[in-house]
Amino acid sequence: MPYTFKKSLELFARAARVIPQGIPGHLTPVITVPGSYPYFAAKAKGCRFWDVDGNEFIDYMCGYGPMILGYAHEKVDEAYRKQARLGSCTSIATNLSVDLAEEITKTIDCADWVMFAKNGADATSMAVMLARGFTKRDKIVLAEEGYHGTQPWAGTNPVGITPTDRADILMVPWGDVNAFCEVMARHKGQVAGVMFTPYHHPVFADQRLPGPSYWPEMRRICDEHGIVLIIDDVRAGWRLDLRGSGHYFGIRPDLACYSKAMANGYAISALVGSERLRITASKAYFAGSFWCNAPEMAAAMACLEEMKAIDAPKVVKELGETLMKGLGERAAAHGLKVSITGPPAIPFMKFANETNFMRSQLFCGECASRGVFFHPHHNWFLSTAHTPQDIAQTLDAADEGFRVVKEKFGG
Amino acid sequence: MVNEAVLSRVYLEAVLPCLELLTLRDTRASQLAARWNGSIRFCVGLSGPRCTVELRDSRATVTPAPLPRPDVGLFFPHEIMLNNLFRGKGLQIALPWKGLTKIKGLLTFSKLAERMQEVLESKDRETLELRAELMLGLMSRAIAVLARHDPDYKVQASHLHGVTEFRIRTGSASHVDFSGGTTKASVGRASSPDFILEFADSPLFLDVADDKVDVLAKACLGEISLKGDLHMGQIVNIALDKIGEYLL
Ligand SMILES: Cc1ncc(COP(=O)(O)O)c(C=O)c1O
Repeated sequence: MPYTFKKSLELFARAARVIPQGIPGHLTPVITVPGSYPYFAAKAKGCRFWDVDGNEFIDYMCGYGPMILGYAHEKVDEAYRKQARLGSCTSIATNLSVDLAEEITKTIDCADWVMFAKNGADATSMAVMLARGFTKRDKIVLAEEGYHGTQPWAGTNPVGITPTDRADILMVPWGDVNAFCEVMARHKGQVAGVMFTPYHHPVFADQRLPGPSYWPEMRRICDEHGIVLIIDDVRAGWRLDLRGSGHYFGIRPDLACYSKAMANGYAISALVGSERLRITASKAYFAGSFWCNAPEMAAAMACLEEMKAIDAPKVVKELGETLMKGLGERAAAHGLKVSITGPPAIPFMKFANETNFMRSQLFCGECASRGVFFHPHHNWFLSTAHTPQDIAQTLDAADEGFRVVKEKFGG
Repeated sequence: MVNEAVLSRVYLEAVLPCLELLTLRDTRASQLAARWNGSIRFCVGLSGPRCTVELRDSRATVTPAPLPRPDVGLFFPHEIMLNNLFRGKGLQIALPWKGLTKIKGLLTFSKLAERMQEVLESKDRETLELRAELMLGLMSRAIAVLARHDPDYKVQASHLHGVTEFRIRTGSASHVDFSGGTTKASVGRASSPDFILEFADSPLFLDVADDKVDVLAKACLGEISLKGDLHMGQIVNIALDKIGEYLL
């Protein structure tokens, strides 16, 4: 039965009347391939979700990263439910905040302390403030095309950002040590911190991994200039190495930001830091109405325990390798050139001979109408719930997708 | 923030060329144009933008290159003065360095400009298609002006390589080519666009131009289609917002 999206569309028509954009934020890929993608999900289990029209998808977006163990994971969900029955947003913090902080400091190698919040953007904003508070300087260096949330200083929002909001933000290309040094020289004594993702995962482009000397060199320069080195591990965190992506790439940051896969889909984030920033962190006032919610912390505890028990990074890496290899082979068999980049657990594929993503949009649309949910211009995610059979089924759908691309574009 | 120097280029290079289509398609405008044969040259400052409007046989032609012997020459010492003329307010000093006596030409031009504004702002059904076509051309030309001259937008546009096409599903189109050294706008479809913004019909396009539409929601409903290089689309969208600020 071909996939149809009648109910999705009806629901969207209602949404558009009461919610600006209908689905704020996560509108792509729907918008890029209208008619090929569902708009609203009804339920999810394991690596699959079902939309409101009953269409089934193997999901390679994993909620844009938070789902790592599979949707509706028994252990994590039960931990959440059990704690919810005991109380959710209590007036004072619960023991779980202590238990979870201890667990994280034992797990992430640069974490001497932890502060909790809800979203990745909370953690990255706290990191920026602490870097400034610690150094008593103003400027923050970020990478071009990097993403750290929608808050004004991060600059991604096209609406309502004033030049003042970004006055102390300096941009450099990711991975370019020389450009970083130039900025340092130009703003000597003014730079408080640098926040980069552990590897470069921009949209609309290949992902780029750091060379072996990149992070050690960055560490050296930051130390030389007294700059706080921040790794935004919100997206990559927990999928590459449970000790942190810094550990994976051989670097010990001063601060690191976590969220997404931390509780397999429950809303929680964490800023972790090294000893030397502890006192500054102790003087800051960071709080949110829901930041101490215990059920999310219980979910994070259960998620951490499970990720350790099954060695989640190893599982997702192997699955990702199978997917990447299979996609490369199928594309080649059709005479198509693709570039598959990034770590296997968080891969991305684009067509090598185009910059306008028309082939990618067609390919992803074709895959979606065959039950495989890829994104045409954003990196994908593997979960431990994907199985080799899911990947085999995915590759069959991809094969058809490649065939259609070949037919339409010829190469 | 409106940059007056850029705005003067938007008026001369994006808005004034609308007169060509207007006199071709709008009876009232062509009747007005028929009242005078001659050319008017606009010059802003010593090195600012220039443009010549030529009226001949009830049609207008607008060229950036100065014609050798215009009948009327208007010199604006500062771009604000030209902009005030188009905004219809403030100090509008132009020094008529040539053709001071050709009052009829100036009057005809000013009537034509009024008619253009009337059509661009009209809500009439009869002028709807023309208005949409005028706006499509204006939009592409204005984007090209910003990409060439707006200090902030220039930087963003310099990363773009390829062609953006705006089109109405059933009708006209315009496109902007960012691939060469200088960004160029043209009317009609592009041969191989990299980003296509397509509107189901003219009323919808005009509502978008008037900033009355939730574009992303309409895209999900299939009434607007965004295809291809969405990154280019995002950067083009910044220009569209800026044009709104410039021409409010
Ligand atoms: C690297 C990175 N940092 C920060 C964020 C912001 O996280 P959130 O959306 O939870 O605020 C994201 C979200 O995608 C991200 O990928």
